[in-house]
Amino acid sequence: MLEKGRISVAQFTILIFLVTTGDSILVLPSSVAGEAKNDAWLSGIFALGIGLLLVLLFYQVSKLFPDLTFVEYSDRIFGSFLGKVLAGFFLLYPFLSVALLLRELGDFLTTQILPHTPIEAITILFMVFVIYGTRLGLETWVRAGQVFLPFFLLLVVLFFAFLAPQFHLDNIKPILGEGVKPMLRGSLTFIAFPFMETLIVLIMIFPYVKIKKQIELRNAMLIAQTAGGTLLILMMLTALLVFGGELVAHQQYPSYSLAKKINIGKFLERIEAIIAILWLITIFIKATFYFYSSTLGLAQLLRLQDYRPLTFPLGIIAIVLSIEVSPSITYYNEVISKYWPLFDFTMSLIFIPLILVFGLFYLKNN
Amino acid sequence: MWKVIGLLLVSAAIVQFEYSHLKKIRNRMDRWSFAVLLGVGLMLSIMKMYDVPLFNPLQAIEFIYKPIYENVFNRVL
Amino acid sequence: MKRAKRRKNLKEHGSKPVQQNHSTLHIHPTLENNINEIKQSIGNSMDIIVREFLIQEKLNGAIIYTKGLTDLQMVQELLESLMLQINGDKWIQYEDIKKSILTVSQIEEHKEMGQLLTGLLSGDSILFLEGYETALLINTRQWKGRDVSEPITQPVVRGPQEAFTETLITNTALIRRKIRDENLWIENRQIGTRTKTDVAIAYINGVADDAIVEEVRSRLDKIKIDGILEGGYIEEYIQDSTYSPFPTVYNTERPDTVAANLLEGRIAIIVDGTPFVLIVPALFVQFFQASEDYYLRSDFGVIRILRLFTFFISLLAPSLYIAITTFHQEMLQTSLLISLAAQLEGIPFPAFVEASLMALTFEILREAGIRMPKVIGSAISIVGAIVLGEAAYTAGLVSPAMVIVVSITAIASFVTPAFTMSISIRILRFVLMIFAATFGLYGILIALFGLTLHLCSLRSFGVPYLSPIGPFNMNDQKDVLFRFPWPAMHNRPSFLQQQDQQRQSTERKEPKR
Repeated sequence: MLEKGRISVAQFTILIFLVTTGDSILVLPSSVAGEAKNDAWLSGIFALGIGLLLVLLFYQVSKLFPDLTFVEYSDRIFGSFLGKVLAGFFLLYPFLSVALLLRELGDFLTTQILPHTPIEAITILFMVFVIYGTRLGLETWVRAGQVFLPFFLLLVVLFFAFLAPQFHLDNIKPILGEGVKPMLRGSLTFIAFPFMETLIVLIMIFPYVKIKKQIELRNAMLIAQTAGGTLLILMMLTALLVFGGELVAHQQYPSYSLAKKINIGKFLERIEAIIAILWLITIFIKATFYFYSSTLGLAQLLRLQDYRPLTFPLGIIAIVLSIEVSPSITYYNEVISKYWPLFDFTMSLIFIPLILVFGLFYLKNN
Repeated sequence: MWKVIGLLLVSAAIVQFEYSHLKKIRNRMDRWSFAVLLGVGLMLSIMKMYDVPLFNPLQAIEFIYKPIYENVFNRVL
Repeated sequence: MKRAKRRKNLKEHGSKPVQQNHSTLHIHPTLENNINEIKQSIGNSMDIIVREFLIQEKLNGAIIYTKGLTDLQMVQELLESLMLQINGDKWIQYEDIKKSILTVSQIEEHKEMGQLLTGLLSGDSILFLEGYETALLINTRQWKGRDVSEPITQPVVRGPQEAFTETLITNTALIRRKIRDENLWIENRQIGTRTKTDVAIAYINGVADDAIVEEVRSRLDKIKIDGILEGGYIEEYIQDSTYSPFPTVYNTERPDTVAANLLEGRIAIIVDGTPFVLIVPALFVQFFQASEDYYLRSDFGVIRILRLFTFFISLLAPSLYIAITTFHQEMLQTSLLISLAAQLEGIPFPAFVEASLMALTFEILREAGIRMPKVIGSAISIVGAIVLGEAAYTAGLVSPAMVIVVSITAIASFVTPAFTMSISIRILRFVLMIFAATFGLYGILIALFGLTLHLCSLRSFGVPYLSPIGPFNMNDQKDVLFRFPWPAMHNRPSFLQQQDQQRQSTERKEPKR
């Protein structure tokens, strides 16, 4: 057994909540509003519904082998060769996501907060701590997420409270003025980024949750996704109410600009650090989650006795990859907002059902 | 040049750090995968430092999904 | 040739037993032999007194004791009862001496020299009798110790004003006076091959978790050292992780704190020779709780939020100053920014150097204040006020804002009730300053992530260090950031996994034996 730690259902819920909001809290509003404009928040509600339906699908997958991760059971259901290939292919997903998250972090910090610091320095520092968290084990870094949560929630409440005076209801009218299509187009990223990206990698974590009944997993996922989705919808709505759809669409980081607008009684201003901290907390947990899953998965795939020695080499590769993935910011943004969501869809709507079908078939025959 | 030397020093430190741990593990696969991955990582970073063009995985994604996005997604919605 | 000779010499010397092992040596029937044996073992030390006498004019006997550790009055009485009161015609048996003649409360019979020697050097008197292979160890211990006085390191306004002393037995008595439960068990053992320091483990049987008690025992038994002079020695042997700035063993000199912790299911380790008692498992939040929190009205317990706040101030204030002045000036209000810029105008150093200089100066002053003879104490405060204040600013070395930041940091660091925790904050403060100087707020935040991860990975005797925050437990929140009124605290903190969870019930749950 490579991972001896176990997490509680509550910790599992918090983990999903943080990963769902992770990263999306900053970058999602822009890409959704790019398609749906004023109705972006409706896209969110639609996406949340789809996300909850997806939970039911993933719950079925979690029931296949309650004590094994996907990489561990993949060669049982697919056969030893195809199983290994598919497991390896699957592991590319969280690993590539780590590189993308690193890139996003570097881009945000170098453009908004630390303009004179080289992007490599920022990503390497981040990666070192992600590696540290990964090496300490699942139990520890999930517990860290649990410790962050109160601070996270406090900052979220402050954020919304400070912005409330600047809401303009006119900004979201007319509702569905251009029909349903833009709204549906906008929900492409809204379904993919927060909901799918979280759920897909969860198949590496399911067996490590302490549960009495399998149904607890489903409930935890439903609660966490609803909470995370609601927070993102509120964030979307706030951005729209303050800026209006057009303006949100044209900004790279709308939530950050929102925080810049906070001005309470002329003394509480320029506190955009709030949103940066919020985002950094979530992206840290999300990156650790992905990196941990891919490292653990690779170790399980190669049947190693410990996953820790892999952390540094994989960390180096992730950093190189994070520099390589984005030759220019426009190219990167286009791929991420248009094609990457489709990759998410492929993973969760083709790959996962494939696992489910083969898994059920295997269980029936054995 | 200095970057490469720095990188090699860092990897020497990593090897030193992991060595005592890996020594305890009897499995040879552990050592090999560590060595190979570290080698790959080093090679990639050195290539990156000398601006050798590497393969960008996002291009693969773009290659596969661009047609789908334009022909399916844009048509349907 | 020469070398070979030397090696030979060394070998001879090495093979000769420098010190005989007395622990298994048995007592000889002849008195003479025994006395010589003891004198020889202790190297004829001047404080060992041998008094030979004759019982009933026939039986030779000897009392041996250590001067200074023994109650001379008691020895006098012993001799009186042995020499004067036994004068009948009836031949006295060894058993009679033990049973009806010696009027001392605590007597042990021993056959081995080792135990006798340890007893002798702890203040007991040895009684040898001619012709017997056993000796009596008579408790005559008494030595000059400090009286119970007020706690110096953990003072309170309301609450008991007594502190532990250097004497183990006084300390256990102080705890017993608070908890009169027969389930308060105190185990004794001696650690240190040379000092043979008495170390006692105290816990309430049936409340403390048996597994943790067993763990404490086994960790104490693993200690191999020649001497234990303070609880700190033991702390470093039994703590879970050596390489951490955070303490995972709590120490206190307050008997009421120990009693409260025992009642919660923790285990106290009392070391002879120091007024500081160790308590395990120790958790992060515990270091921010003062015993007074429990004596004052419960609404005052909110003060803990202030303590946590000051914890962050003393940890972060200098690094935030560095980060904001070097990287994020835009975050300041315009008017504040202008005044700050004017202050920083003439300062020759970057913020990091400025902050480190001031923080270092403060650390020096603080260290000097502790080490210095008390008589010249006022000198340091005058010099300190000049260095850290007006003069430094007038000389153009630091900005007034920096002086304020360092001062508030210093004061905030004194708010933490536990001294050991404030040491770790001092170390981490400098680490955070480096992160702030290189990466600004991002660096601080990342360092805090690392710190949180580290805290989450720590355990104290198996209990996660951050409980009940992570892993979170709703019921235990009653005694973390604020304290609920006593009638509302029904249960003991659950993370300690006691057998008896209920604090408030009319009956005690009887433990398994």
